[in-house]
Amino acid sequence: MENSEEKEGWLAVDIHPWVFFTSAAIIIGSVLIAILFQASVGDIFTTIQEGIATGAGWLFIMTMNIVLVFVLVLMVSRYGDIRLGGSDAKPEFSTLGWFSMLFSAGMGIGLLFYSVAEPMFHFVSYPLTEVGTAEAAKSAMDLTFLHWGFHPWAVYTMVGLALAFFAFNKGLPLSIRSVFYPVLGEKIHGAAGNVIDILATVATLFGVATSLGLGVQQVNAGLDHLFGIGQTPLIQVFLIAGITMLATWSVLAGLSAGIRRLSEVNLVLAGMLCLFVLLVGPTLFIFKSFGENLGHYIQYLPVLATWNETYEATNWQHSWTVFYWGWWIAWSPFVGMFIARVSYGRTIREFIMGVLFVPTLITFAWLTIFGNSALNVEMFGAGGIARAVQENLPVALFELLQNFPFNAITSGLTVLVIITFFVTSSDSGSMVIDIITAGGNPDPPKLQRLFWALLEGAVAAALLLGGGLVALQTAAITTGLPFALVLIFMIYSLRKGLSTYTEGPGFSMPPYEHGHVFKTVSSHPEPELVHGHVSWLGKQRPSRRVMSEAEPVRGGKRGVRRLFGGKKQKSAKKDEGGQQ
Amino acid sequence: MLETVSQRFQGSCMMVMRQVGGAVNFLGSSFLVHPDGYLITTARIITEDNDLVVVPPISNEAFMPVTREEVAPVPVKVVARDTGKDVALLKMTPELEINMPEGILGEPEHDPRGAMLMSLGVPFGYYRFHGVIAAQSVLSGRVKSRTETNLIIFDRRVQYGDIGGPLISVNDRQVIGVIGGVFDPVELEGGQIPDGVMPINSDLSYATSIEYGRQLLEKALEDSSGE
Repeated sequence: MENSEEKEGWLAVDIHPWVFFTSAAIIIGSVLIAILFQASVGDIFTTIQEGIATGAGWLFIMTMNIVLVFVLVLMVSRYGDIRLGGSDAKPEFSTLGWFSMLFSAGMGIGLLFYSVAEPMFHFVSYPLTEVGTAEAAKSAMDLTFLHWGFHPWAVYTMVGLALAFFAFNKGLPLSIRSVFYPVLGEKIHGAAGNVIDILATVATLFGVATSLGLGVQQVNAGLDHLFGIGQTPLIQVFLIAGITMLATWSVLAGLSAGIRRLSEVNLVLAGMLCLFVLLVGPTLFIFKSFGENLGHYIQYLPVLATWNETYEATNWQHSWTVFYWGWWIAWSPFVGMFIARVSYGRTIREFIMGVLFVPTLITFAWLTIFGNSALNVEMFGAGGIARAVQENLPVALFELLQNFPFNAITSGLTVLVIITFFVTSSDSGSMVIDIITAGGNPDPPKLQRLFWALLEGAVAAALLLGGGLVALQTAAITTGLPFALVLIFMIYSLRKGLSTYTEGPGFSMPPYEHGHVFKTVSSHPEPELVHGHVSWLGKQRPSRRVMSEAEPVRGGKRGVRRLFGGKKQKSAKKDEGGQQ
Repeated sequence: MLETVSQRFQGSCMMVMRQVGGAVNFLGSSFLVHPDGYLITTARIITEDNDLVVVPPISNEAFMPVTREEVAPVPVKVVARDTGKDVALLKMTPELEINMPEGILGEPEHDPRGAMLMSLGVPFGYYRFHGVIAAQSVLSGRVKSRTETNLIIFDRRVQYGDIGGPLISVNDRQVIGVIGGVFDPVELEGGQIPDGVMPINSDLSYATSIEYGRQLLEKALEDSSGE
């Protein structure tokens, strides 16, 4: 274990060698193993994941709810006033830029994948409702809202908040290890902290790389749908190279110029797509269903959020709710880190409202526009989306767009939106890994960013060509279990950190002694203070009557002369003599 | 809200005293406004020819003794004293390493009527009680005096020892005024209360707007950098 001097040195230079090299070695090693032994590795992880879902599903469900309640309580508590970065901190980004980065990093990718697909799945396969009925449609949207709603964002909120608080307010490195400070103390800078950071780095890179791989398949599906170019690994590797280059540019350009601008472009494009579907699709149906979906969600939130399939004895949740909870939890170090990085200068209340409610509402609007359009087609229109989705998930959105005019344009736009979402995810992932492997430096050097952005692309490409993408994704999700325990622990740690937090060091100065200690004496307020109120305003100020007779006079002749010496003071004393 | 403001201003308040031989005599409150050792207080509690000192009051969270027998004062000089606006700027003569938050002087016109305020001061310093007392009030109104001095009225009756202490906006966490005393409109008008007539016994107090203190500080910093 390194001593504290080395620790300082490592934090001062921008690579934390243990974290940096060990993470890189683990990542490259795992990719090789995944490619060489993909079948057996896949089996192992699938078995582990199924075991976790069966044995610890309840733990995920409980954890998510505890985190949500905790975050809501924090929002209304007095800690809400604490400003991340100290009370003089100013937010680095405009509120709109902040929202778009939160949204892009947290959900963008998955939403495009699942906004059509998931309601369709539930509509035809949710075991507790009759397939294809109005009840099934309501449940389908409700379940989708549950999986994409307050719970994931609550987890992101808490991880982001804990990271931001310990980094910006307590002066610790912007790193997952810092969250453990109230319990581990200085040990976070040692081996235990290294292990934590290595885990976070590896999980983040695999998460981003595997979704880069999966996303590229969706982009490829879209391009194939448009131009009939086919879906081959070679095309996908080229796509990865392209996206990685864009991401590299964005990462190198820095947060403000790169990621923020891309996120905003991204949001505009996604907004255009959304608006198109809203206006051209079943507008009235969407408007009506948005309110109803929200109401349904809020009404059944406690029921659905705590539902464990206890009495049904089914295992539908394993591949849905529990899967999602594991996924969100596994992603939380990455998204939380990114959220923390961009949220400097917000108060905790602002932070929670911004991260918990705004992206959730946008997500709900998005899910309603796409999900309900698909439901509308399925229930009252041509149908066929559900079946297509079950056969090939990546084409879900394109199947929906086929029902509307200007299919070619909108599909093209969709491909563009997916690409920009992936670039923002990829570069925010590189940014996060950079920060962690630089020992918590929020502005790591560019060479390092380049390395991670390229490694991400390389890992994704290698997995695409060699297989093993799904195995690794499953592996990433299995890390959700240890992280669920970490989340519970984080609640304790954050609560402890907040309760002992004081607003900065306040004012301080060294004691000024010089061997002079003076006695205190009782005295009385000066008469012009007692009777003067504000009468001095606009008047000639009466000269000061120096001291009341009741006061002991110390300090020998000099003091006495000073006290009763001056003529002015004597006359003043006479003037006010009656006011003793 | 209030406790975070209190924490932010922990240690800002100082007692102004006059050194008389081996003893010190309490005059009022003051507060630090600059790391070079500048303090703002009310002009009328001091005179320029006195041996003035400031003494850090007891401001920690422990139960404090009700009287303090001995103190270690820091000598100060009067840098500027504006009797018209009733604000004075003091500076510690020894160079001490002072740490303090930035941007503690605020905008007196920013808060709306009814905004939450906190005042700090050493209300009973005259009686050797050297503890900082925090008190909550609301911004009751703003008045321009006969001499064009902007006053902030707040709904708490201050004690004489509070005079010179900071009036802090809780929303902005910044000082918006220097506590002046109990508010009395009769005297503000320039009138005198005839003998035998009950004076107004107001529960309201006033603070002179911090803008005058800021002006003194800015001028002093300009002068010192020019030297």
